Amino acid sequence: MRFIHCSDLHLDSKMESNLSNDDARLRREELLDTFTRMVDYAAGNSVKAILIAGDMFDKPHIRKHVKQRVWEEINNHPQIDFIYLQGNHDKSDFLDIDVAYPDNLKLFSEGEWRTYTYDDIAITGREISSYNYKTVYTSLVLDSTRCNIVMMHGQESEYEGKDKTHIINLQELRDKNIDYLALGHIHSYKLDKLDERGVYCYCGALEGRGFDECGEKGFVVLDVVDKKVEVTFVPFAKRLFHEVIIEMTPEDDMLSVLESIKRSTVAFPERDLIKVVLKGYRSMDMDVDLPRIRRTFDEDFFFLKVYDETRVQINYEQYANDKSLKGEFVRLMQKKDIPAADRDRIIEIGIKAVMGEEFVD
Amino acid sequence: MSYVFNDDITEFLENNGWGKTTFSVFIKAMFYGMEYSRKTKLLERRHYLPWEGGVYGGSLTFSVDDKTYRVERTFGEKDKDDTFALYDAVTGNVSSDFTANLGEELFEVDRESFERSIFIPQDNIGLGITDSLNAKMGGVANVQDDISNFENVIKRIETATKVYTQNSKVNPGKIKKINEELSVAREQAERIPVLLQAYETKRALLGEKKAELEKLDKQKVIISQKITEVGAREQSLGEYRAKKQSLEKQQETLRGLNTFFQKGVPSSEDLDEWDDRERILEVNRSKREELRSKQPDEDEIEFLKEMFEDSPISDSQIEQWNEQARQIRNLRMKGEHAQMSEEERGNLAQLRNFFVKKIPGADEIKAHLTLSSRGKELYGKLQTLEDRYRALREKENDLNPVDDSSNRTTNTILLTLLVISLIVGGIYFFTFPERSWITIWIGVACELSAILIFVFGFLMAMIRRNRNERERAQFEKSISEAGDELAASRSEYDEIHDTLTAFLSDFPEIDAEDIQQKIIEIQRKMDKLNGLEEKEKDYLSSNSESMDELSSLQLELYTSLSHYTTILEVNLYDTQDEDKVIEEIEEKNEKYTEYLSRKKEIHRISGEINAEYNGLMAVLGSYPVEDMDSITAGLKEIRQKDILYEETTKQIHELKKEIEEFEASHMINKDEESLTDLQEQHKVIEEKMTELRAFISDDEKSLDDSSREMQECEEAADSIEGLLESRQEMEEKVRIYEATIEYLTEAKEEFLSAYMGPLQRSMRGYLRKIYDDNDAEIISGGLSLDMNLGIQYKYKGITRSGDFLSTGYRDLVAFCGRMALVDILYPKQKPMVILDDPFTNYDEEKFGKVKELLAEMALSHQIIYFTCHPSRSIV
Repeated sequence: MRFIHCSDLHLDSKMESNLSNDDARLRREELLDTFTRMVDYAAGNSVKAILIAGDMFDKPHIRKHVKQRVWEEINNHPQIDFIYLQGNHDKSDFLDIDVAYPDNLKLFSEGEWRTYTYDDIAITGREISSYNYKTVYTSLVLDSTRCNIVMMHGQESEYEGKDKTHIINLQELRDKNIDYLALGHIHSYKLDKLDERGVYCYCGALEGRGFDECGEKGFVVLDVVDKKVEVTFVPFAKRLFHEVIIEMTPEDDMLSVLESIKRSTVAFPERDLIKVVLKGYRSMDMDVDLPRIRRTFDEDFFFLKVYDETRVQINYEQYANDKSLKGEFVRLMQKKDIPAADRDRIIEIGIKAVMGEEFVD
Repeated sequence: MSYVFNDDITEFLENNGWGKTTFSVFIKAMFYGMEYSRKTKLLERRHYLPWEGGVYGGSLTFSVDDKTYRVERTFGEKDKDDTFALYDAVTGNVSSDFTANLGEELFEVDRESFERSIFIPQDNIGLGITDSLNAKMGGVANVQDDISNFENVIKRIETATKVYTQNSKVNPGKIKKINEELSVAREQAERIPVLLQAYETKRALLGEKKAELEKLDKQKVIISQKITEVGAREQSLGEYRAKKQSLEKQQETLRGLNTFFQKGVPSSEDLDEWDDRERILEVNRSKREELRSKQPDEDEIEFLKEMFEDSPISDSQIEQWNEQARQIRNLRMKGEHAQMSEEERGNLAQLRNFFVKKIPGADEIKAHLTLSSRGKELYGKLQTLEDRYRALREKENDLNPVDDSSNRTTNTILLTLLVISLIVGGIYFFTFPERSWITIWIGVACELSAILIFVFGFLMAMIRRNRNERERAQFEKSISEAGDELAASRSEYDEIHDTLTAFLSDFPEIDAEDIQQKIIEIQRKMDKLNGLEEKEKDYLSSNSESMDELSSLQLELYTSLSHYTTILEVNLYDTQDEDKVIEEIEEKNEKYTEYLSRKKEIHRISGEINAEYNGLMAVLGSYPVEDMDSITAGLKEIRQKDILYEETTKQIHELKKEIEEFEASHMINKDEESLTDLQEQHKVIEEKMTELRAFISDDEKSLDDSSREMQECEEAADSIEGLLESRQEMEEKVRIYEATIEYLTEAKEEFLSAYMGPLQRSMRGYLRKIYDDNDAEIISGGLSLDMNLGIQYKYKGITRSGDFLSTGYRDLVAFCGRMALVDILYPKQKPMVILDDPFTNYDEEKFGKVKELLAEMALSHQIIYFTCHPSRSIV
C-alpha cells in the first residue's frame, strides 16, 4: 500500500524572498499548483492516502478561490484519503463549510489520539496544544502487530523545550511500536532512526519560500509491504532557491566577476530563484557594478538578487611616503581602532572623493 | 657622457635645448627607477628608449652621511627587463644598504614628489608656486591640490550623504522616502489585528445565520410532511369543490348565450346555408376585383375613347389597310431594284461637285491640251537657251585680255632688256681697251641684233592686236542673238502658262505631275460625268409608271389613317412606316374592345353582390354580434356560440348529476388546519430562507473582501522587513560618509600642523637671510603662505593677498617659499635642486641677493644651475 507524507504546504502564505508583489502573487499561485500536481501524482500512482503533517495553511483567512481549489481536489479524488493533522499555524477558516465533510477527509484532534486503519496499517495522530502536551506521549498506545504510522507536528528534540507546544520529544516516542513517525514543522527533508523498530522523518515543505529554504523540496512516498515501510523522497518543487557565494580577489575586474557568477549559476534552471553574494577583497579601482550584474543575469532566472559584501584591499605601504592629504588620511585611518570593514570603506570613499572619482553607490 | 657635480653649486652655462629635462629625468631614474605600468605603459619609458631597441641606463655616484655609493641601472621595454646594482664607491663591493627603492628609502618621498619638487622652472617662479593648477609643480602641486580641494571633497561627500538624508518635501532623500513607505506599510500592518477581529466577528455572525437557516430548513421539512398528509385527505373534497365552481361558471356562460340567441337558436341547416351564401358573395367579389384589376387606367381609357370615338374598328377595315400597306411595300421594293448602284450615285455626286463652277467643252479642253504641249516644249527650249547664253557669257569672261596683256608686258620688258643689253654690250665691245677687229665685229653684231629684235617685237604686237579686235566683235554679236531668242521664248512661255493657270482655277486642286496631266485628268473626269448622267437619265425614264402608282396608294392609305396617326403623333410621309402604325392601331383597338367587354361583366356581378350582401346583413341583424362590419366574422361568431350553447348545456347536465351523487355519498365539514393554511406557512418559511440565503451570500462576499483586504495589508507588512533592511543599508552608508568627513577633516588638520607650520618658519628664515631684518614688520610675521601656498601678508592687522606686493618682492618671497618646501619635503637627506634659469627677469639688486641666498643654501644643498646668459652666472 502506498502513501504520501507531506507537510508545511503554507498555501496562500506570504513569500520571504523580497519578491515583487506580482512575483509573490505568482509564487502563491504556484504553491497551490504544486499541491494540485501532488494530488495528481497520488492519483496516478495508486496512492491510498495523503498524510498532511501540519501547516497546510498558516493564517486565519484564506482567500476564497484557494479554499475552493483545495476542496475541489479533495472532492474530485474520493479514492484518496486526505489525512490532515493541523499544525501550529493551521488556524484557518478552511474547515468552515456549509456542507458535511467528505468521507475521504480524515482529521485529528487535540483531545485524543485518533487512528485510521488500512488493512494492517494504522495511521495515528494527535495535535499538540498547551492542554495536552504533558500527557500526549503517555496516552499513545499502539498495537505492536500492526504497521504503525504516527503523525505529529513540531520541532524534534531529545528533551522538553521551553515552548512545549511546538516540541516533539523523541525520547518519549521511542519504544512505542512506531514504524514511521511522520513529522511536520521543519521545511527540509530529514530521515533518521527513531528506535530499533522505526524511523522519524520530516518530509520538508513542498516549495521553498525564501533563500533560507534553499535546496530540494518535495514529499515522501511510503510503500508499506508486509508491515515494512520503504521511504522515498520525491523532489517536487516547481522552483528552487539557490544562494551563490563569489569570493573576489583584488585582481578581479567586472568581466571576471560576471564570468564567476556565470560559472557558478550555469547549472541552475531558468525557473529558479538565485541569490548572489559577493565576498572577499577587491582593488580600489574596482567598482562593483551591481546593476550591470542584475542586467546581465536577470533574464536568466525567475528572480535574482545580488549583495555586495566585498571589501577594498588597501596597500598601506603605498601611502607611507605620500606627502599629501591623501597619504595623511590613509596613515591616520591605519591608526584608528575601528572595524576593518568600516576602515576599508571609509578609506575608499575618502580617496575617491579626493581624487574626484565616483564613489556613490 | 659623464658629469661630476660640485658639493655646492654646479653651473651649466649652455644654450636652450641642451637637455635640462632629460638631465632631471636621469637623476630621478637613478634614484627611483623608470616607472612602468601594465595599463598605461608610461610615455617616459618609451620616450627615452633607444630607437634601435635594447637597453639604456647609467650610473650615479652619491654620498649619504659619510659613505659614498654608486648606483647602476639599465632599463628595458618593461620593468622586468630593468637591472639595478648598488656598489660601495670606495671598495667597489656590492652594497645592500639600500634596495631598488633607493629614492624612497633615502628621501622618504615618492617618485612623483621628488620629480616635481627639485625642478624649479624658468617661468615666473612666483606663479609657478602659487598656481595651484600648475601640473609642473607635481608633488608640491599634489599637496596643494588635495588641500585646496578639501572643501570640494567634503562638499561631494555631503552631497552624497544628502541623497539619503535630505529632508526636503520637493526632493526628499532616499531615507525620507523609505520612511514614508515604511509609515504606509506600518499603518497597513497595524490594521491587520482590527481587520482580523472584524473578520472573526463576521465569521461568527455568518455561523449564526447558517444555524438559523438550518433550523428553518428543518421546520420546512415538517410542514412539507403535513402538507402531504392533509393534501391526500383533501384531494377528493377538492374535486367536489372544483366541480361546483365549474357548474357555476357554466351556468353563467349559458345565461349569456341565451341573451345572444334571444330570437332563437339557428338550426345547422340555416348555418350551412348562410355560409354557402357568404362563400358565393366572396367569390363574386373576387371575380369583380380581378376584372377591375385588368382594366386600363383612366388616362389610357380616355386615350382609347378619343382614338376610337366610342366604336372599335372592324376587322375588315384593318385587313384592307394591311393589303394597301403590302402593295406599297412591293412598289417600293420594285423602285429600289430599278435604280443606279450606290457607288454610281456617289461618283455622280462627286463629279457634279467637281464641275460645279464650270463644265468645259470638249474643244476647249483640246485647245488647252495643245497649249500645254506647246508650253512644255517651250520650257525645254528655255532650258537650252539659258544654258547656251550662260556659256557665251562665261566665254566672254574668258576672253578678258588682262592675262594676255600681262604676258605681253612681260615679253615687252624682256625684249627691251635684251635690246638694251645688246646695245650696252655693243658699246662695251666698241670701247674695249684692247680693241680688235673681233671685238668690233662682236660690237656691231650686238647692235644689229638689238635693232632686229626691236623691229620683230613691234611687228608681232601689231598683228596680235588686230586679230583680237576681230574675234571680240564676232563674239558679242553671238551673245546678243542668243539673248534675244531667250527673251522671245520666255515671253511666249509665260503667256501660255497664264492661260492654262486661269483655266485650271475653275476646278478643285488636282494631284498631278504637271499642268498637262491636270488637263488630261479634267478631260477624264468630264468623260466619266457624261457617262453617268446618261445612265441616270435611262433609269429615270424606266421608273416613272411605278412611282405614280405608289404615290396614289400612299395618298389613299395615309388619308384613311390620318385620324389615328394624328393621335399617335406619327407622320407617315416622313417615316413611311405604315405597317407599324397599322399594327399599333390594331393593338389599341383590341385593348379597347376588351375594356368594353369587362366593363359590362363588372356591372352584372356588382348587381349580384349587392343582392346577396343585403340578405346576409339582414341575418346578422337578428343577433348581437360583436363585428357587424364583417359578414364572415359575424357568421363565425354565431356558429361558435351555437356550438358552445350545445356543449355548455350538456356539461351543466353532467355536473349537476355528479354533484348530486357526491353530496349524497360524502359528509362535507372538517375542523382541521386546511391545506391552504399549511401551504401559506410553507411559503413564509421559504421566503425567510431565501432572504437568509441572500444575507449569507452577502456575508460570504464580505468575508472574501475582508480576506483580500487583509491580504493586501499582509503584503504591506511583509514589505516592512525589506524596507527596514534597505533603510539600514542606507543609514550605514550615511554613517560611513559622515565618518569619512570626520576622518578627512582630522587628516587635514594633522597635515597642516605637520607641514604648514614648519613651512612658514623655514620661509621666514630664508627671507631674513635676504633682508637682514631691514623690514621687521613684514619678516617678523607679516608674510605667510595660505592653504594654497599662495603668498599673503598682514599689514596693520589686515591680511592681504600677495598680489598687493611688487612683482620683484613677490617673486623673491615665492622663491623663499619654494626653498622652504624643499626643506619640509626632504627633512633627512637633501636632494639636489635643479634651477632652470629662473632669474632672467631679476634686476641686479635682486639677483645679487638671490646669489647670496644660493651661496648660503649651497652649504646644505647641492645646487645644479642652468643658465643661457653669462650675466646670470652665479659662480
